[in-house]
Amino acid sequence: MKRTFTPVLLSLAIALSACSSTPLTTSTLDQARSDYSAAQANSAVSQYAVREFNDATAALNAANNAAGERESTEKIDQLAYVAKQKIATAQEVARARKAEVELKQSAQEREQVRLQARTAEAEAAKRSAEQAQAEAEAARARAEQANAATQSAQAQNQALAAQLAELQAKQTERGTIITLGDVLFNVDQAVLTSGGQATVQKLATVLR
Amino acid sequence: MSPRYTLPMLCAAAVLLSACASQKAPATADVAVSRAAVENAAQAGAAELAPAELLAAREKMQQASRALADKDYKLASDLAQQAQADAKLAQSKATSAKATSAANEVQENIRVLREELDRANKQ
Repeated sequence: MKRTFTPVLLSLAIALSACSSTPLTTSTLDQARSDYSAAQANSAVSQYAVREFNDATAALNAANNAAGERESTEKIDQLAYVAKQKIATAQEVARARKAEVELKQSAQEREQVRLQARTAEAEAAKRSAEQAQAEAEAARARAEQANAATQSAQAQNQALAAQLAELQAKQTERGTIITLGDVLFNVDQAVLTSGGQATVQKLATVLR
Repeated sequence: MSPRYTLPMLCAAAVLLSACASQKAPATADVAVSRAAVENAAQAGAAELAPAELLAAREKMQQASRALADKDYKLASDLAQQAQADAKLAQSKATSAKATSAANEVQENIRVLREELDRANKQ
């Protein structure tokens, strides 16, 4: 009997020493704790993911308790892993809800900007219409001016033609031939007679 | 095997089996829940938006199913819980990625509209 108990006692002692030397934490638990602090510091989590964060808190507490009770490393790791993933989930849920809220605000902002754009477009159209009208009026004014200029030029031409006719001008192949008749001086005078002077005056006007 | 060991061995086996029997129902439920969580994550688009988490969840879920078939209910339950946590993370990652990109897209729209508006006002 005594002999059979020795290995049992030995193994018990080993098991107990293993228990007492079990670390109070594992790397996974440490990671979960630091993730938890980060999530706690994130205001979006407390604003948008309260339920998920409470879940994560409960999971981390379970892992902490397991570590405090010096349970097996496997059990602590198991609980700590679940806690770590729940903390990450809370962070993601908070990010998603925050983005959804921002999306709503942005959609409203977009509508406002669209409205502004449409208003600006309408104003630009109005402005360009006004501008086109003004340009049309200016063009009409210019056309009238040109018309008037043409008419005055025509009148001038007609006057010239009349004057030439008075001078009895003839259009030939060599050009315009003007015959000046009755350009006379009185006897012993260096001054043209009044009829001659009138004829020369007319020629001067045409040449001018 | 000497008869001296037979009785304790039998006792131990009995204890183990009873432990297993008491764990069977919750482990089965855990595996079922984790399977549903993985399916939800896949539907949320986690395959593209959170592939690593979804893969981890799938693998653990399959391991849990295998453990369940091998009647290792403790392992099945543990793996199923991990798979569930992974799948939920994958799903929320996919959701947040989609929401973030949608919000960014609208912001980009606004930026372009504003630029157009500025150009129109300058003309």
